[in-house]
Amino acid sequence: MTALLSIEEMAKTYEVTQGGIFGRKHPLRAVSGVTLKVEPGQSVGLVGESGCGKSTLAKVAAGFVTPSEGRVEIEGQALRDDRGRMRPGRRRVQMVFQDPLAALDARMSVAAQIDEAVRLGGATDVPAERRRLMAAVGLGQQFDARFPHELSGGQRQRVVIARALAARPRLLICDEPLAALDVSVQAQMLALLADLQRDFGLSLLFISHQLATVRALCDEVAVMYAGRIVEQGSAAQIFDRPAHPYTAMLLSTTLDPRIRRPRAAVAGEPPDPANLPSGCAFRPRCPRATELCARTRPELGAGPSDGRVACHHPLTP
Amino acid sequence: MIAAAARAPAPSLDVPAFEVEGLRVMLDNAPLISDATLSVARGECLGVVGESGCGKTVTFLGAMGLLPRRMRVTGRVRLAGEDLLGRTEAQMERIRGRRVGMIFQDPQSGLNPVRTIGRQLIEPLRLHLGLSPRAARDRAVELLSMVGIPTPASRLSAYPHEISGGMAQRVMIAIALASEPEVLIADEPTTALDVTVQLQVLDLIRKIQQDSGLAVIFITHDLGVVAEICQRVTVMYAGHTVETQAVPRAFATPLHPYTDALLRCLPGLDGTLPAFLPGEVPVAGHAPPGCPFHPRCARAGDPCREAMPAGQDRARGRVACHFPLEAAP
Repeated sequence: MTALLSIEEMAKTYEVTQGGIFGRKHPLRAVSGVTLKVEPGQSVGLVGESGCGKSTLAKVAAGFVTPSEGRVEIEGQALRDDRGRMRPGRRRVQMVFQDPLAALDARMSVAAQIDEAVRLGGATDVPAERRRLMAAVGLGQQFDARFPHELSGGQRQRVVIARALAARPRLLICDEPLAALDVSVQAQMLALLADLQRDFGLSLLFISHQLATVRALCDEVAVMYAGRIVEQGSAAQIFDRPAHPYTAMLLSTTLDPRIRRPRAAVAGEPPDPANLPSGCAFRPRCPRATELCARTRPELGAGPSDGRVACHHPLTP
Repeated sequence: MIAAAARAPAPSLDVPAFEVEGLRVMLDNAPLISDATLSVARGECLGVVGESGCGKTVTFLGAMGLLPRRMRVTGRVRLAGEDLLGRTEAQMERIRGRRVGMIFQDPQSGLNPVRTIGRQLIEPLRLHLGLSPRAARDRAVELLSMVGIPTPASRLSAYPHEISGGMAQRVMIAIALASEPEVLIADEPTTALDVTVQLQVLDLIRKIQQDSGLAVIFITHDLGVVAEICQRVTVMYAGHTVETQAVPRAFATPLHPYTDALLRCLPGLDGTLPAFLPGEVPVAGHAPPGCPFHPRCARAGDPCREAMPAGQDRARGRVACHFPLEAAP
């Protein structure tokens, strides 16, 4: 079976200027050596702190950003042709961002925004297709004439998702789609995404810092730190038997009113991507770090459990 | 470290550090806040939760005299037993700067981008505590080191854009605590931060609160955060305080169906999808008659459509509901 999305040995380097407009340019590696597959119907979660490269990875997968190295394929076809132009297959991948207000046109009604996407999607009966999509995301006809500022955060995100669905995507990339919403609306959106996944056979690449949400929605989880995937495995393995000390630290930061448990101290902040420590980038914050970790960066390999981990001293279950 | 207790006008221990009773905020004829009642004791952290638009922020802006004039605030607000409503703007300004510290969600917008951190920290020390330039500088370094900023002396000359979001929120806390307030009102101070950084900021607030007897009001929509640092929680819905209970009991056995519904919105710890709470918070001025929660409430009956129940003190806490969830026998 061909993977729906296949990213191989991908790296993205940005040029940043330091010291004013005439300052020297420095390469900044946002993502390095990332290999990730999403199979049809599968949902993959991507977790990690701000600046770990998860959004860059999502933008590369969606074709918004050209990788500096490596390959990105959608259904076995490169995202861009030999001359660097986007292939039509790119529409099979749609993206939903955190802030729906920024994604919508403030001066267009809900119906007009969705119609525009429906026409691009090639549907013949535009109003019928619009109604079908709006029903799928739980918006009634009374929303047709409304404008984005007249909608709540959850309703706006539903419009964004309806528009994305108009392209008949196979893969929906969601970058923190729930972060700005209330818990009640998050629950509604989670149910909606689970329904869409089932009804449309959608695959999801779901980026979130809310681990409970990732667990509810995803089969597979990749944990990123300082631009690299440091652990990857089934949701059950990652959440119940984390092998990387960083994954364990992230899990211990989950605050939930239903659990009371002693927590290991959480120290430090992610490193500056322009100035990574030698060896393993997590080493300065890691309780298990040794001299080996300062010398050699561990490669992603088979972990003690069933997943893959990049650590010299992984946690054993 | 912080001598708030010594500076306060010696309140007796049973007087709450900060108290809001029957607070009402009217915009023209629409109530933004209908009835807010809550209190926080010295050395206590009170969580205030509810969905967006429930009036969490407006309650405290109203209590502290920070709302535009056309919004009328009535009811009672007491700081260590002294009434605050009806004071002049000049008096309120002194109280806000000196006795009640406030921090908000976005630390970068709370800081002045064209002034160094040192200047923003030294100013309240000079103004409110009357310290000499030298003493203010030393105190600023002390405050930065207290909030966990490495090499604090060298950070005084840094501008806000030169520090991370977590560091900026620490600086905001240092500024809010500079004048050694009795009460800290923290409005979603960790919402914009990474989970790891959030935990560090929460640890910091807890430590300061325990060391100094500071009363903390922590406004958030994250029930996990409340469970982490609050001793009690007040739940707001559509401009009413509907429940107050001790933590963690409030989460194990909530009294109000709204609190119960919020808890059910969390995804299961085993990865199951959450139940969902239909509908949305009514817009101010368009609340249905009776209890504003009744259209979304599974327990609603006829009385709920007719009248908003008054808040009642019960053995386990305070609740405003005709059909509260009683503890299972």
